[in-house]
Amino acid sequence: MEEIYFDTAATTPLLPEVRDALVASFDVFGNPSSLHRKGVQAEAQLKRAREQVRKCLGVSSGTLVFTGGGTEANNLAVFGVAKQYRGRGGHMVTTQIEHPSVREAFQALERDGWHVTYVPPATDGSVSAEAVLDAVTDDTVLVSVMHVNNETGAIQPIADIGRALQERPKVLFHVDGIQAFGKVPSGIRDLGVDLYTMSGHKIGAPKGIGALYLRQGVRIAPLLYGGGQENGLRSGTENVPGIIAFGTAAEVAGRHVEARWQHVEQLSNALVDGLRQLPRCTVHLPSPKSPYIVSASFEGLKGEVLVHALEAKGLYVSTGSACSTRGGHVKASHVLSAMGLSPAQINGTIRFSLGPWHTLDDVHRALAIVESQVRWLVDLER
Amino acid sequence: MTQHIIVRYGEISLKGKNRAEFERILVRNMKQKLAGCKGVRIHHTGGRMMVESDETQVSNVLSRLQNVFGIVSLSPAKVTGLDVDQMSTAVVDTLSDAVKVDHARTFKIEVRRANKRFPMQSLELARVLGGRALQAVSDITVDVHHPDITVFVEVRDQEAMVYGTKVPAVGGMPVGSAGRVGLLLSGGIDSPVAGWLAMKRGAEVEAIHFHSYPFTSERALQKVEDLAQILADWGGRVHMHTVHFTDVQTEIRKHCPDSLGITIMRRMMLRIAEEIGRRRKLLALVTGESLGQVASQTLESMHVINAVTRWPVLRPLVAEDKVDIMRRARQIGTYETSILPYEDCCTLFVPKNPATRPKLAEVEEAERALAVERLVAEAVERTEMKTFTARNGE
Repeated sequence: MEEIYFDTAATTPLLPEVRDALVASFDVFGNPSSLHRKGVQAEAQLKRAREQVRKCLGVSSGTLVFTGGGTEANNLAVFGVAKQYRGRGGHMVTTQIEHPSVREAFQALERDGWHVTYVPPATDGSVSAEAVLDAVTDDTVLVSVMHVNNETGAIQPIADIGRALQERPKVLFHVDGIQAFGKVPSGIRDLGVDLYTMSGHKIGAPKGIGALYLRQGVRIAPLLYGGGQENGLRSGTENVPGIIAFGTAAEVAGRHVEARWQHVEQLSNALVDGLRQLPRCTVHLPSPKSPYIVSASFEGLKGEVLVHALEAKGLYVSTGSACSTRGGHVKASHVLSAMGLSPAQINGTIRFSLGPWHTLDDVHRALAIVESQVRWLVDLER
Repeated sequence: MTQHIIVRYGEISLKGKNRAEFERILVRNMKQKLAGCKGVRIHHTGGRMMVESDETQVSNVLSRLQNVFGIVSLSPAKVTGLDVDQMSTAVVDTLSDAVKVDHARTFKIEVRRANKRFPMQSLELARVLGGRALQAVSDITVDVHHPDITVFVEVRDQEAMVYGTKVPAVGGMPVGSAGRVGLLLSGGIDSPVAGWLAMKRGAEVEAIHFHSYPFTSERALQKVEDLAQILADWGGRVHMHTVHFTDVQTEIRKHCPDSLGITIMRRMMLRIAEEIGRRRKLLALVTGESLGQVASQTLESMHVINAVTRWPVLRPLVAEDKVDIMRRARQIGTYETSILPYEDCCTLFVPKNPATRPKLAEVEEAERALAVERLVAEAVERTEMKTFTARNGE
């Protein structure tokens, strides 16, 4: 049985190029902080990786802080701004559709006395730039809006928000780009983004490496104190192999980002068309939307059962969002609730997430599996 | 220095002609449990068991043996020469420990003189040792009626033994002394406890689990395997049979009335378990059912479910309250695993209105829509076996 892995928004397999780079990286064992040659060699690799990531982001300046993953980068952005600008005001703006690594950080700040506005999405899963900007006050220190939503693929109006916020130089703009980085072709140049979060294992690097981009001149406070690595923003000896792998994955992703987007869009369209033919299926189509993510609800079925039923035939997808499978309990997705879906729809929601290496044939085989398994499950009801 | 531990196994010493066999099994189980403890020797002579171990290993050996079914209590003992001074030192040490550790305030000394050539009589020796102890140990007095601690002195042919504290052990009968049973093991709280109780009465347990992938996940199966492992840690070894039950459940779903779904499912489980039992030469089935706990556990349900088998179905928890079962699950270490939330096959396919008082005739009628024999045969054919052996605290 040839497996079809449509869960790339949860994590991706290592890219072959990344595997090679990773294996080679283990010979570069020096501590980048060492004065001697071994240190210099390792430091050169970090420098190269920073260039690779910047290039993929479409920026030529600014600081890149490598972190232990996307969650840490999001936390660093939110808490780093809060610590640095406590005196500037006491208000922040975010949305109701953020990933828990952003949302939970804001909820922690609320317990510390900050005021946070959570902007709700429209029923298609996107927040409007106006709604976000309307929430900004003279007291606002940070606005944080994700680039591509991990459950629906909805692309948020980052450029509109970022450009408008440029008129308010004291408001920092953070974007969680974990599902966008290396996929959305535009990059972030000229979008008015001050802080941007990336994660390695969503683009073919291993788990445990991520990064936070800071536009030139943006200052935040660190979460970790120590040897002052990463411009003092992330002390601790650098994860050299992880960073090399991340740089390589970014380079690969950036190489044909436009062509890949178009390819995946073709797959996504075929998938959406096929799903729409199935009984009880509603496909969620925010506009604009990343083709890498397709969310669909099968009303009355249990997402968890559906996931296992598809898995049994070799197709891997996830329920609404893999991050909500905590200790086996699937919590009702806050994003889907915010979009106004009924509980029966939310329970029956699964997420397909594609990779550039997938083919139209994969999509057709996947659709055949979904169709037979959904019919089988529907048949068991009465 | 070598330390001795006295092993008491109360109940099995009552059983006349089977006794030698029980003791052989107990020694085997103890050896298994003590595997990897260096320098440990088990002596078994004349109706008493003694474990000899290096001093550094004593607490390790004690805690392992406490969990061996069949052992009632244990006492670390000091071995001395046949000399009053040496015995006295051992008595004083034992009492000092009891004062320090158990806050004992009163004591008595009981002497057993198996060696009649020893020049002092029991009462006299007790008086001498007690007198010396009173001088040497502060904050303690004699109370011959209700002492906090009794120090036993056994005068034997070659040596004397002195011991005080009795460490309670799990009790019961040695696993393997009562034959083999099939435990219907789910991921819930009850069935692992039922299996543990069967082990405690000497049964060797083989677990039978019904897995309904994709209606339950691999994590749910992993959880049940973890439970089987915990049972194996107690009983030495557990074979687990995983029955792929999905087809049976979907057939029931398709062909039988919703309200009887659970009853028929349980009947199919028993049929399949009995067939596995027959092949594995088991003698009984064990379930975690407790009377009246849920809809399928009313007497009417049990009556109808039980009607498919002539095998003994043991229900060790039948009269237990839920809180007591939960307490026991915590004691034996299965609770934390059991409460992990992965659904097992009983919680899916749950009808809206299950029949709490099904009638045998209506259930048999409903089952005529099922190819019972074929479903049982196919399920047994697809059953996989996995073996778990005790980890012994590794």
